[in-house]
Amino acid sequence: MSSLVTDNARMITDHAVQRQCFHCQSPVPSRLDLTVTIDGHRQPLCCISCEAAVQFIYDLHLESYYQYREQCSTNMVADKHTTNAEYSRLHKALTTLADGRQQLMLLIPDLRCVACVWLLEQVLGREAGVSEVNVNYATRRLRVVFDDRHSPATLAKRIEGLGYSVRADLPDASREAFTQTRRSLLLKMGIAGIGMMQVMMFAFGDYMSGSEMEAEFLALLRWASMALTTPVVLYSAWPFHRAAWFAIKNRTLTMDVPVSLAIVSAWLLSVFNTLTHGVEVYFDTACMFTFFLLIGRYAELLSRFHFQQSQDLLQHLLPDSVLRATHPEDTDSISISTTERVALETLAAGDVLLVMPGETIPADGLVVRGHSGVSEAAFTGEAIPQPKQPGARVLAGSVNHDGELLVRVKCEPGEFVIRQIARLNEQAGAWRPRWAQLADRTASWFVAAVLLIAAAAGIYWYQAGSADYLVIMMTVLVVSCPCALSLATPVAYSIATTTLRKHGVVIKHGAFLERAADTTAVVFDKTGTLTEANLKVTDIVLANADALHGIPDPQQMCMSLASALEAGSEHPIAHAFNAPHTLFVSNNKVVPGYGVSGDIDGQHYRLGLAEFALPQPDTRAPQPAGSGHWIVLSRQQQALAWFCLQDTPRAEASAIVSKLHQQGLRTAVFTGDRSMQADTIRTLFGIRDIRTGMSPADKVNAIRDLQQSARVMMVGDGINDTAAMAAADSSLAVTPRDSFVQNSADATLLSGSLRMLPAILVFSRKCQRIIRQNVTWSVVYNFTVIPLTLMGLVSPWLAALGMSLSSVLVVSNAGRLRWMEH
Amino acid sequence: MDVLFVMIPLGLVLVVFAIWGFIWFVRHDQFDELERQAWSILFDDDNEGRP
Repeated sequence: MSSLVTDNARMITDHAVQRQCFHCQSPVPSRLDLTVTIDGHRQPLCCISCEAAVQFIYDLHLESYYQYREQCSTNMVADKHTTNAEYSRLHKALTTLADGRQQLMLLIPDLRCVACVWLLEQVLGREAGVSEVNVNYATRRLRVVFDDRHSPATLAKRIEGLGYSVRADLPDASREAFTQTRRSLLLKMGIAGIGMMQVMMFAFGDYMSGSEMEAEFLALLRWASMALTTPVVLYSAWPFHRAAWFAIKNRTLTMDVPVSLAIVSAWLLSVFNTLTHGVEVYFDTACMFTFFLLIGRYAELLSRFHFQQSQDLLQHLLPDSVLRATHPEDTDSISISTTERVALETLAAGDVLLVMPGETIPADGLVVRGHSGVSEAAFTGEAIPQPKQPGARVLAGSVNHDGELLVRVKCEPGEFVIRQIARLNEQAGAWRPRWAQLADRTASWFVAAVLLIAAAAGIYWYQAGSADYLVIMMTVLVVSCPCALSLATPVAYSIATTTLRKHGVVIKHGAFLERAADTTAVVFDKTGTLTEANLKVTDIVLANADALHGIPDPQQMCMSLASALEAGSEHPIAHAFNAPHTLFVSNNKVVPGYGVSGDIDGQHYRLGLAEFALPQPDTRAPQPAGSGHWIVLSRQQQALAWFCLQDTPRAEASAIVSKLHQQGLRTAVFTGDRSMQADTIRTLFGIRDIRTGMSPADKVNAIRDLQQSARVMMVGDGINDTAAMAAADSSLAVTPRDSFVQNSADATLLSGSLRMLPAILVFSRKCQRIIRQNVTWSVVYNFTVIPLTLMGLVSPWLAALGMSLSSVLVVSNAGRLRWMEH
Repeated sequence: MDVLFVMIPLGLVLVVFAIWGFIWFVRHDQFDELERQAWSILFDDDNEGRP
């Protein structure tokens, strides 16, 4: 057994490398030094709860959990130490079994790997009074049966103690229906498979004997085959018959029509020949068609199942109930005792909610009280908590880490960003390119053609005197079914949208992936896209050395004075002055368009444009040279210092641009702003084509020009350049998360960072490549196999096997889109 | 060869058993999750601590 020593000396280590918690694998705050010593190695921990969890796991000798778990993705980090889960709701997921024991169904949204499953089963299984535990890894659901020594709340607390969150698993009609479908398809497939094996065995005897088998044995084999094939045709192949029947009733033709026709006719002919001692039976063919086609259906169902799962988890990020303040007006006095627990769906705009540390924030809104780190991993894939203070916006589904927050709800639950993302994801996943839509519409003509070709082939081979004419006809019917073709696009799109969503990219328009793949030029907006749109002081030039003589750090002094003066202002410039100070300002005034003024220690100070702060031009203190926006601080109308304000370029921008150049893309900046010189932009970001001072109409024209020679992707904030975005072939917004709904771009980077841009372009190309491969494969397959079948060269088993392998191939090829390189 | 008249019906009976077994397994959630079992060999299953 490994040795275990916990050690929680906290030291301040500010520049520590980003570390991962040994237990929950979320990032460790850099200031915290909490470690556990395992086998002589010190491992970092992120919080006391994780420390307790490690201790608990080692106490139970379950440490092999750490050995076998996989590198879990932190995308799905939900609230990892929920302190007050909705225990009251847990009883709804409780049923009493016939023998008096209780059964509880729970959903564990952050179940991360198979080792987690094992850990939960071991821990709960060792509790006295727990008689059964099953954890389903695929659906992330846990079923536990226990007696009166436990209550749902004690079990939930046990699970939470390990670092998982717990939700009551309430019956959900759509999921229930899905499970039913899956189960019935599995039954049909299994019965068809077993039946097929046995029928083939009988058929083998028939083939091998040639025509020398005595009639009574032959009849025996046929009757036995019939007994096995009949349930396969009537039960297993039922989905095909049913769909075909509905299609014919609605006077259309779907792919199910030829399939059902082939299976039924093979069976009917064989039954007829068995009864009349005819020449040939095709029971094996009927079974094989059914079995192999069901495999294809099953693969399709599983891929939809994964999509459903990811949607399902997005829904379950939010808690079912919330703590709502009974008197929202008086925010100072709100505490846990003045709140009531209400269902999430009953919330309205203006409600004030109390969010405890470790809980998931249940609603979109503004922080009205409290400070905390909030992790928005569900949106951005980035688990590092961002600081939130009063006035900050928070989104439902993000996790409150350290402090208690009061949040004023902004909108109805249906309007929450996370719900909108789920809806958009569903739409984008269901989107199909125009040619695929066309293919769907023409499908019934295709099927009609298939029926005619099959009939023609049958007639031809009958005329030619071949005994196999019926087999050839049936094989044509099955082989020409474009199953793989119909799967090629939708499966790829649904997987790709889910993958992108997990990396913080929400697609609003399904065509985005298709068009982004063709991009040859990327046009950036400047403010808020290449820069962060928040001003910072980049330079302080002292103007009057005499006035500041004897002060140890005059620059810091001026900065404090300026911060004190700007404290009362809401102007963007004021945010640049945030130095700590203890100065008291009287007569503080804001003069719009010019600056601020105020008295400190009886002296009059001004901060702002030169003509405001220095009414008589001060010849001893000219404005320093250099680009940027200069403002001046004056005391008694004497210049003290000049401040240079600049928009901060995004740290990642120049690296991103050079990556785009490596991909062979052209780049350009179209901006309406004049404050930054084209040369500065060029050196900062390495972009050559720069146009400043453009009106929205200029931008549209410039994009149209560029489109003469390139496919253009416009990257902006999505709000100020709507027209340019609409003009470009595709558009991507880098935007604050809460305004993503208003923006008009085809896709949005929720992380508010450009870092993913090159990866998105690569991914969209990969997606198109995979779709192309899928489509090419299915078309080539169908068009080579149909002629071969018509020539009588393809035996039925080969045709059926090829069909289903084709579908499986297409689905698994699309499965490669689950990974995104970045 | 007359033994076929016994063997083939017997074979059918076995198939019926196989199908019945398969239905039973599906109904009892044996196919709900296939990934976890592959890992189970790696974990110790000692439940000695259990009272």
